[in-house]
Formats: sequence, structure tokens, C-alpha cells
Amino acid sequence: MKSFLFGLLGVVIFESLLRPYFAIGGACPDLGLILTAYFALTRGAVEGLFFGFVSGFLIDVLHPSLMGWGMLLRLALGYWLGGFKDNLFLENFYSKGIIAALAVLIYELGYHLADTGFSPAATLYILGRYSLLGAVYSMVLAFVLFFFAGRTKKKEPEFTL
Amino acid sequence: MSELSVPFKNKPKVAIALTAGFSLLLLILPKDVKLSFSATISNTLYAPFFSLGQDFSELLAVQETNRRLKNELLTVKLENQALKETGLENERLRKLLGLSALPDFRPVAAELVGVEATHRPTEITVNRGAKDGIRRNLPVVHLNGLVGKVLDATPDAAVIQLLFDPGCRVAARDRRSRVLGIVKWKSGPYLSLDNVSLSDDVAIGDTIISSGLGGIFPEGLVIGTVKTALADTASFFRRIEVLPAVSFSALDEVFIWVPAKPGGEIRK
Repeated sequence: MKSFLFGLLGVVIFESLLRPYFAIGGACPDLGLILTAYFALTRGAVEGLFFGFVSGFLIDVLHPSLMGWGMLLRLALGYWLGGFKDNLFLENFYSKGIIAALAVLIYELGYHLADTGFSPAATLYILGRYSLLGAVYSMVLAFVLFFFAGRTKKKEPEFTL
Repeated sequence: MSELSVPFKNKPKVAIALTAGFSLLLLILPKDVKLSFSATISNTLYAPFFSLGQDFSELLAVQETNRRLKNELLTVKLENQALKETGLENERLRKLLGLSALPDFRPVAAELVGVEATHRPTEITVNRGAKDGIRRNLPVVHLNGLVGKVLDATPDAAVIQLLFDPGCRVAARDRRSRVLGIVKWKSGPYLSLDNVSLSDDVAIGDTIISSGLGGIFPEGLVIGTVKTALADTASFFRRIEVLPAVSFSALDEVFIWVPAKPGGEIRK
């Protein structure tokens, strides 16, 4: 629960303070989704769902016109990503990073479809102009997160007498 | 001891129903409710971080301004050094030619404490007075040029007569052609350069400076630039309008030129 709260505090600090410093060419990593992927892939679907729900709420507060929609997408993605928990090698941070990037793309597609009034042309433009780069950026950040999370994880003894 | 777990860990369907239900509820809320809800949460949760970020970016801006001002100060110091050398050389040459020495002034910074409550102010009051060596008829300047002269001084304040006062006259000259004239205000938004004959060379865009001949203002203070220069055939003189270098409606700080030595002003 402590890491859950730290993660949420990280999202608040990132969204309010650090976002402008991380932006490259208008694209920014989605820390909320990266952490949702982290909790879903390391702890399970319900943890992913709850983190997606709360972080989605914190981010939607800043974009009130679609409040609720971002939360819905994030909690759904958190729950869906939790299904991969037992199907990935623990040490393989690459696959987790790629899954996080895929989640970012799905989220961006869903969010901008609603944001543009379900206009495919406008959504595709936003996806091509910002979301692809944002997804790659998120993937890189997710690699770093999963790599260090894997290294700091306590190793349990394989055999007990 | 196991770590505290999320609620409904073993009941995912309940967790999905609750979270999705709450999200849908927020989604269907009226826009104004969403906005006020969002404003309340943002003000509580994000405001401290936003203000921290703003303070940080302001600090960066101040650092940048500081760096720029340091560079400017260095340039100005070098220029000042060169000007001092030129001044000393000028003084030596004037002595050699037998000309009288130029008056020596030091600027005293003064802040505005009162402006005439009229549409077009002609007098202002500043927070420096006789205690600071301010006396009647001392020239008053701004970074951009001449402002006027001291009309009267009490121990702690002084009244400045601006160039737009009908009673204020400045002996002036064209910096380029050296043509002499008298600057005063007659009407309208510009000053007037009078006593310039039809044959004299004054062109639009020329800078008008004080000539030092009037006995109050030292030579070389910028008054303004020539806006119009018409040849009035009905008169012997040209009609020349001068745009003041100083914006009199945006004055905040002025400098009063106090003689560096007692009795060192032009008119004693």
C-alpha cells in the first residue's frame, strides 16, 4: 500500500511540476499508465485496476470536460494488464516495457476518439503527431522502471529445508 | 507482517463494478458540476505543487535576468570608462583652448510621490528635497531624456516642472545640424522647437538636445526627435514639432542633477 501511495504522489508531482521538463517535441511519457502497468504486472489485476482508477481520477481532474472517461480507460487497462502478470518472465523488463507502451497507445486512441467527438481523422492526426512518440517515450521510461524494480526486488530462497 | 492490500482483492467483479460505476457517474455529471468539482480538487491537491513550479520557473527567470544584467553592467562599465577618458580629454582640450569648464553634476534618484490630477500633468512631486541638496532650477532627467526642472523644494520633497508646462522653456539644438532653437509646449501632444528660420536645416527624425545656453540645463540632454518640420510661408520661422523622448504618462523614477560641488550649477 505504501508503494501504491508513493506512486500516486509521483503522478501528482509529475503532472503538476515535472511534465514541462519531460516534454520532447510536444510528447510526454504517461507516468500514470506506466505505474498502472507496473502494479498490474507485478501485483495483479485488481491492484492494476485500482491504481488505474485513482491515477485516472488524479489526471482527469486536470481535464474536467472528459472527467470519468480517462479513469474508465485506465482502470480497464489496469485490469487487462494484470492478466499478463503470470504469463511473463519476471526478469524480462523489455516485454513489460512494450506492454506499457501498447497500453499508452490504446489509452491515447480511446481518449482522443472521445475528445475529438469520435473523429477518426483528428484522432489519427493526434496519434501520429504526439501519441506514437509519447508511447515510445513511455516505453523507455517503463524499461528503466522495470529494470530497476527487478534489480531491487528481494530474492527469495529457492529451496527450504 | 503482510503489506496492507487493496480492497476487494479477492472480489474483482465488485472492484470493477464500483470503480467503473464511479467513473461513469463522473462522466455523466453536468459540465458545471464537473468544473467546480475539478477546481476544488485541483486547488487542494495540485495548487501547492503548481505554486512550487511557478516559484521555481520565476527563480530561473530571475537568474537569467541577473546574468543578462551583469553582462549589460559590464558593457556599461566599459563604456563609462571610455567616456570618462573622453571627458578628461575634453576637459584638457577645453583648458588648452581657454574655454570654461563644463559643469559637474551627480544624479540623485527620486521616486514619484504625486502627480497632478489632470488629463495632462505639468507638474510632479518627488520624494527628494532640500535635505538631499535639491534646489530650485536643477535639471531633472529620466533614463530616456530630459524631464524638466525643479520648481520648488521643501526639506523632504520637490516639485518638478515638466516640459509640457507652458512656462517651461529649454534652449535646444539639433544634434546633427547644430541649429539652435527653443523648445516649449504650445498645444497638442508634441513639443515645439521655435525660433528656427526657414533656411535652417532641421529634418524629420533629427534628435533635439539641450544646448546648455539657457543657463539651467547642461548641454547634450536628449529632449526628443523631430516629428514634423514644416516651412510656414506666412512666418519667418519653421513650424517644428518634437516628440519627447520621455513618456510623461509612465514616469516612475527620475534623476535630479545636483552640482557635484557647492555652487557648481550653471546658473548661480
